[in-house]
Amino acid sequence: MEEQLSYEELYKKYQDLHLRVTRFSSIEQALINARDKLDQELVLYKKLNDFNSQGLKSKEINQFLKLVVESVIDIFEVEIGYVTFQPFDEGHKLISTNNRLVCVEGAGQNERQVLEELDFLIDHNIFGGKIKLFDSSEIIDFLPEAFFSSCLISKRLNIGLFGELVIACGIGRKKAANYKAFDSRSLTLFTVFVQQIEAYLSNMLAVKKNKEQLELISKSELELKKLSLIATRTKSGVIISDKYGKIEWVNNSFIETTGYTLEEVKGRKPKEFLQTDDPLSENAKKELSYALAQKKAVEVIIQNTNKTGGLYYIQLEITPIFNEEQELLNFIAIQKDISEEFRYKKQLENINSRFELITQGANIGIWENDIINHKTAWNDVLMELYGVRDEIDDALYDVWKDSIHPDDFVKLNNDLQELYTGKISITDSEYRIILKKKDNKECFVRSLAIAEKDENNRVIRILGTTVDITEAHYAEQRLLEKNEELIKINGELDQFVYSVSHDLRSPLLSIKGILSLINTSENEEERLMYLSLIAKSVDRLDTTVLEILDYSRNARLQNIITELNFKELIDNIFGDLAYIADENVDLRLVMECPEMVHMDKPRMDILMKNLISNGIKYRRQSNEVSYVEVKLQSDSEHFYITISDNGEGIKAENQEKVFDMFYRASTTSAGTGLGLYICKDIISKLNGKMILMSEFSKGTVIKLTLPKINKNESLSPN
Amino acid sequence: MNRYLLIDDDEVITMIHPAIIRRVDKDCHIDISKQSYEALDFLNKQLAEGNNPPDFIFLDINMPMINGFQFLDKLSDQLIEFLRNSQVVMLSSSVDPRDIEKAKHYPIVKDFISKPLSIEYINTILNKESHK
Repeated sequence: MEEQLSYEELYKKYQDLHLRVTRFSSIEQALINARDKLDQELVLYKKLNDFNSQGLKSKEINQFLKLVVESVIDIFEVEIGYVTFQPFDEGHKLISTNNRLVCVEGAGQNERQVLEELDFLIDHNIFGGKIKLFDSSEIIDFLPEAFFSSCLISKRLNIGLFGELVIACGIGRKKAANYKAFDSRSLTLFTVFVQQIEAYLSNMLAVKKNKEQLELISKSELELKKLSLIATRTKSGVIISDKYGKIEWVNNSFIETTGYTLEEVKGRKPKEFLQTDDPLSENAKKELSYALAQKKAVEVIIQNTNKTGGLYYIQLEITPIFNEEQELLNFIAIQKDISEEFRYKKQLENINSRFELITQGANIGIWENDIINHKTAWNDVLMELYGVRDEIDDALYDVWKDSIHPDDFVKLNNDLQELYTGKISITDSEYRIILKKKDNKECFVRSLAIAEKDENNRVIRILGTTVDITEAHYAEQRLLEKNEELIKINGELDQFVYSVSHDLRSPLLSIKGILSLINTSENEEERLMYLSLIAKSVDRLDTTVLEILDYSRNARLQNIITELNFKELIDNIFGDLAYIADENVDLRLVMECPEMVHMDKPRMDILMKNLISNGIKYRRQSNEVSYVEVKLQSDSEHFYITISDNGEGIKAENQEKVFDMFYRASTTSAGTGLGLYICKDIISKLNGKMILMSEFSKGTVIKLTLPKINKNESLSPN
Repeated sequence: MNRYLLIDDDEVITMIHPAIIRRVDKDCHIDISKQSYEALDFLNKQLAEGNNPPDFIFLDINMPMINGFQFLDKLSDQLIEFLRNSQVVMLSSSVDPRDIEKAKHYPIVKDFISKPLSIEYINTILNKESHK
């Protein structure tokens, strides 16, 4: 009977089965529910994951905040997302929200204002409340119930040290009824979400801050580079030390000045190896230590020493450097080497001593007269000039005063009075001095005096130079005389050129005139007459040229003394001149000394020829027989030559002029006016004398006195 | 008939200048003074005797004793008046600009020329005279 089950048995089995099915389906439902829930969470986490990946990509905080708003709406299915970030270090608050809120508010133009109000509400933990609408004075109440659900969630938190973050979200009133309240799971999710935001934001801010700091550093590096360039290039020594005063860096100038290298000084304190025991620097050292202890800037002049022990003075300027927190970082010391100035001082001293040498060498007397203390100082040159040795100050002044030439005293005194009273500040005077210690020798001096005044414009000292210009004075005088002579000679030369050209031209012009006559003449006899006139003019021209030659010979030739027969010389001249003499001129020679004499033959020839021919040319037309007589006499030292005639004579007023160049006293003969001038010149060259005695219409006597010269002696002209 | 007075110490010149003048002015009267004071005496004599003054005077500058300028200085007021219509021409063998300047200070001097006289010059002054 196994096949035979009872109803009861069957029902029981069915009941059991049904229970199992029911139980199974509830399990199934639970499973389905669990699966749905898992799916939902999966979506949420997926969304969160999306947020993560996008958040990573955000670079700007604003952009990130926008993403947060979008994500909070998306993940928590709310209608409003609102995020603000208030950085601690700046006042500007970053706000981001979705437009939905604004739309709800009915605003659009003045979003910022609404957000500020909203912010206020969140700050006071009352989301909703009273909000002033834009562009209206109307105040509208909007309570959470009115606009937003009460299931809104907000979170305020600090992001590291960077700032405060507020996240809020909410949902509109209409949907609020259907919205599931935030359960623990949502809250967890929100917490995770906020944590992530916090992480991203803090990271982003840290990066940003780092970047900013990097920029700041690179900027300050540039500044530092510039500064260090200045410090390197400057001629002043620069030391940078740490806050303990230990050297961190020095510039090239410091190295050059001190002789130390950077390696040698690094880590040491400057005062340990730079300062000296100079007593003059004691105060400076104290001042320096005090200021550095007080961390104050200081400036002193102090002596330093370099590596090789050389001493020099520096102007030291130390400035402490603080950071923003007023912590001492470094000291910067700048030291200017002022030993150059000391060197200049030394050079000046050198120059002074050299100057002393120069004045000594140039024989310049230097003196100084201290009016206040009545002291007089002279240099050696001046002592030497006045012939004084160890006189005391006051005596020097007396020596000077007593030596002034009486004739120059008044003027000099006037000059000096003006100087002493300050009327003038410099005088330059020339005066004579009589040197009592040098046999009353007279000297010329030139003295330059300068008045030195005090701040009240009172003359306190007279100083100056005195130079002995005696030599120069005489030289100058001689020069003036020479110059006058030269001017005279130049005038004579001018006259000479004019007269010579005149005398040379006259016969030529005559010939020119005659030629014009010959050209237009048809008479043969007349032509012959004109030709004879030409011959006469040519003769005259020749005479002039010869005389000029004589003149030039005398001027150029050296004196040559030779032995000669005076009688022969005169006889030859008589012979030469015979052709101009008529038969009624008696030429005679009287010798009262030996015929052989030592004379300058060429000059004697010219001289005698001129004087004798003058006697012949200017003979007088009378019944008396004309004569020219030459007489020679001598003593141990001189020759005396007398040339006398009974010619027309020279008027008294003309006697002085006959020896001038080109002067012609007579009109009876065509002389050139050179003859007697040449005679005078020759006699002067021979160091002789000539006396002219003449009476008009009676005759002329010329007496010559010539020194006797031995054959071998040569006279130097002048 | 033109009257000429030559004042010149140069012997040759006193021979050729009259010949040159006569080439142009055949019928003329020529007086010659070899010295300045001779010429002064001559002119004074002419004035005293009531004769006509010379029409032309050729005066040399470079002469001994009294040169041409000194001669002009020595002319008395009467002689200057006497020579009012005379042509006084100064002559020199070398023309010194200073002399020309100096001659300008003598109104009586009408011209300043270089020696010797030329036939052309005589022609010129005669033409000028006849056009007056």
